[in-house]
Amino acid sequence: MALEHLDDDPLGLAVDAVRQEAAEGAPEGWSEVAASVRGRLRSVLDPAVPILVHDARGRLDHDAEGSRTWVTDRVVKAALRRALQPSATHAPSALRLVVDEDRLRGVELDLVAAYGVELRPLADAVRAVVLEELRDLLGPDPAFGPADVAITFVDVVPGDPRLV
Amino acid sequence: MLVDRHGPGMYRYALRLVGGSDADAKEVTQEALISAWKGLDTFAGRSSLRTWLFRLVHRRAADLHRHRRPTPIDDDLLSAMVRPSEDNPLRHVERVELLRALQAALDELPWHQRAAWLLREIEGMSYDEIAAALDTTVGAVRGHLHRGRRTLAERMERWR
Repeated sequence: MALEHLDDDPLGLAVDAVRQEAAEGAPEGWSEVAASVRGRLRSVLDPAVPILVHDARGRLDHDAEGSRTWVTDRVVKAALRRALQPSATHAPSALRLVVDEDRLRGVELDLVAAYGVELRPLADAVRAVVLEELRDLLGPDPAFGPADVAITFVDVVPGDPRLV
Repeated sequence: MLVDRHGPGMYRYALRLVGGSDADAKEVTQEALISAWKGLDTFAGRSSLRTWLFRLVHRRAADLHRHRRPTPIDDDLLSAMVRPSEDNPLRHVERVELLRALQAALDELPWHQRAAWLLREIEGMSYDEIAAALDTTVGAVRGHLHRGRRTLAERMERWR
């Protein structure tokens, strides 16, 4: 099949056509795949772990009736991941929450650092970010402090560790 | 969110990577998304989420590729994905034929060349991202791309 307008660059035109197709939306058959994935995810999901929220005065009971609020560990982990992304000096490698009797007892964070960065000041800065994020989400817990955020540097890499 | 935002792109990549089988692409994409969901705790951001997800697709597809015998190319793979043009039927037919030829040429490429080319030319990834997705070096990515582009251009020459 001879196509006059393909004389210049057939590969380039084919690439344009594929990109255009990609921009037009999900490929045929995707909705079937998505439904199947959602069904399987529902069967493999671990139950979320609830974590109690402190009020502005650091109390668990928010009123005289003993009202309490919980936030799940999924929300906390997602927020911490976002908070740990912005800098090219480090990237989180793994993140674990220690929860006991609905209270957050500890954060265990594995970090990858950029080569040349001072690790101790970086750990202090990251710990402060974690504590601030936890305070925003879970309120001021008088029993939770810097010593409860364990940071381990698991690797040091040249360049931006978020891209490695 | 993970499924809705990144799933269509992962499925598209899987379709072109496995070349001839709708069923294989679905299996690869499903396994990659389930694996991603289970592994989110350990992801935590060493590469972009998208790069990490494409890496999972690539691994699943590579596993399948290793354990399966080659299957005949489905000529309609890409053409089936093209929506008919309402105002220019001839141009639509041309586009279908062109994409069919591209898929056939892609299927002739060695595995890593095909993957690198798709991630660069179609998904628009950087060399660093492709290296992360394919678990290789930037230098190797450059080599795969160079050879893949040259071969594809030769295969598509017949369309001039």
